[in-house]
Amino acid sequence: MHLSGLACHQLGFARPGRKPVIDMLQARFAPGQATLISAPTGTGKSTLLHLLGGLLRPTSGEVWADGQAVSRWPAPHRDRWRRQVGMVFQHLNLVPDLSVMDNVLLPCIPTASSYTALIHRAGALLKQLDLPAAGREPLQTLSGGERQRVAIVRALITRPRFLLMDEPTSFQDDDGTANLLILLAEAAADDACVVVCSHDVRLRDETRIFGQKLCLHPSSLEPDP
Amino acid sequence: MTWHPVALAIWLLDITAWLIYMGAAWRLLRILPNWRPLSLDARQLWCERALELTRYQGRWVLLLLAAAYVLLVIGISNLWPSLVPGAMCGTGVLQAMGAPGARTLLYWALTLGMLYVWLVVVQIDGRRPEGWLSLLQARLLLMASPFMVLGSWSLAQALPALTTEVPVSCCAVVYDQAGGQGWVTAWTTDFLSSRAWFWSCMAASGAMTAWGGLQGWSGRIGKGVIAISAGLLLLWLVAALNGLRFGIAPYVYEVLGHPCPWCFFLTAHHAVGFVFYGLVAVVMCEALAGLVAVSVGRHYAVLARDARRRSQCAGRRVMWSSLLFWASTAAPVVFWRVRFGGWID
Repeated sequence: MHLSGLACHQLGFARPGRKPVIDMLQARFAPGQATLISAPTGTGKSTLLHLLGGLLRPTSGEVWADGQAVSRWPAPHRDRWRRQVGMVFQHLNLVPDLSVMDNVLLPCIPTASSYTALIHRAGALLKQLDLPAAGREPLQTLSGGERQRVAIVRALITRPRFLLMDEPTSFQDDDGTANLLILLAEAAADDACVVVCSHDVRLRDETRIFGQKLCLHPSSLEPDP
Repeated sequence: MTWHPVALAIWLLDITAWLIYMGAAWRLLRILPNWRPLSLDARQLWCERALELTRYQGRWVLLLLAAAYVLLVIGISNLWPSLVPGAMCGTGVLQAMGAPGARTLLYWALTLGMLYVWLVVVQIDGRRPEGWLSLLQARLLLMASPFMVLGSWSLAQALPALTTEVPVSCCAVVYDQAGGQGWVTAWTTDFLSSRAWFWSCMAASGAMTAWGGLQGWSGRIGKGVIAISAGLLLLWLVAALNGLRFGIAPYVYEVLGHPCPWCFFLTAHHAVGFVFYGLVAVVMCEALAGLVAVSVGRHYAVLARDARRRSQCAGRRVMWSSLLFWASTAAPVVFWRVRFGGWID
């Protein structure tokens, strides 16, 4: 399987002693395209994103990234590959004791990028999402929506090849959602593989950004009607 | 049974290593019959996850047993002579322990050697994500079990003997007796003199340094490399171990005819044994690693480049450690010569 982008091949995941959350799933997410996955809560959207991002290992099947079965790689190789993944978590997973800028720059620690260039890019992204560009504020002083935007900037800072977002607009107003959609379009234009899981109707109604809209069932991803 | 804290620490390390090893062995025994790398089913993916876990478990076992071995050497050489009547160094302690004492050292050394070979295979395989050597890793880790069993069994027999009240002979008496029977005399005087052993040790270490440097530079994995490396390692080992006892010992102990390897570890002699024998162990391990890397590179073409890199790394380590051995063993001799203007012969 030498396809670029992300692909699931007979993908399955089950917690011990429970019935599978995902079973024999076949899917492909092409680079340069944004995909929206929607489904009722509890159907495994977050699990699917964690499997795609290498945070969970499948209990059967494989996840392929740019033609390589990354889900079967041992942890050291998978961790190195994960540097190409930018992720917005449903529960954000920010470090509360760090400032906004420190949180944003965390994924850059293993990269060899220039500090000045990173600060410049982080500032531009923060500004684009209506946050102070300097990012000196302690995270604890921000509202829920602002924190979510910090998490989005953290996911974008390394220009990831694979951008995975879990309910990225759950705390956003309409302006925040519009700004996010612009960033998603830019990432897709940059040839990133963008996968967004959400049941936000504002995203489901969006027609220009998402080239693919799917609905998740335990063993299939069907086109969202 | 002795309740000496170091003996208890050794037991604790051994038991912990065993618990971890048994966890790994249980997984490996389930992995081996079910390994189907082309399959995507749940069983194969479980095997892959379990194998990854055994790599961490194996590393911990190696670390714990290496720590236990160092503690055992420290105990035998420096701590337990005070428990055994008549013992002055490790020779007396080993006498009290009887054959199980020496057997423990031997079996644990073999276990550590086997685990190090396994670690080298894991390192080479770990450079690529595909896991070409997965089954070899599993088998090698399981192959350490007989030596581990024998080592722990010997330890269980050896440690209780430390509480003996029967006096043992000190090393001077032991080697005088052995010399009287003829075999030490044969080695030292009839076969090679003290000075000849020293120079053969120096020459062999020089050759080992040169060979290590050559391998470190070229990293060849050709057919002749295994034979040359193994032959040279064997020669160096004979020359180094005998050179230490018969060539270097007189300059460290400042007395002739006392080829006791355990006195090197005494603090009265600045515990130089830990440096000398530690470097011997490093050279042996890395030479072994080089041999394993060459062998892997020859049998798995896809891993040839990674094997070559490991072989180069082993070569460089052999070069530096044998150079350090050469310098550290020559130091007391040079010091004596500069101080007194002559050789001990």
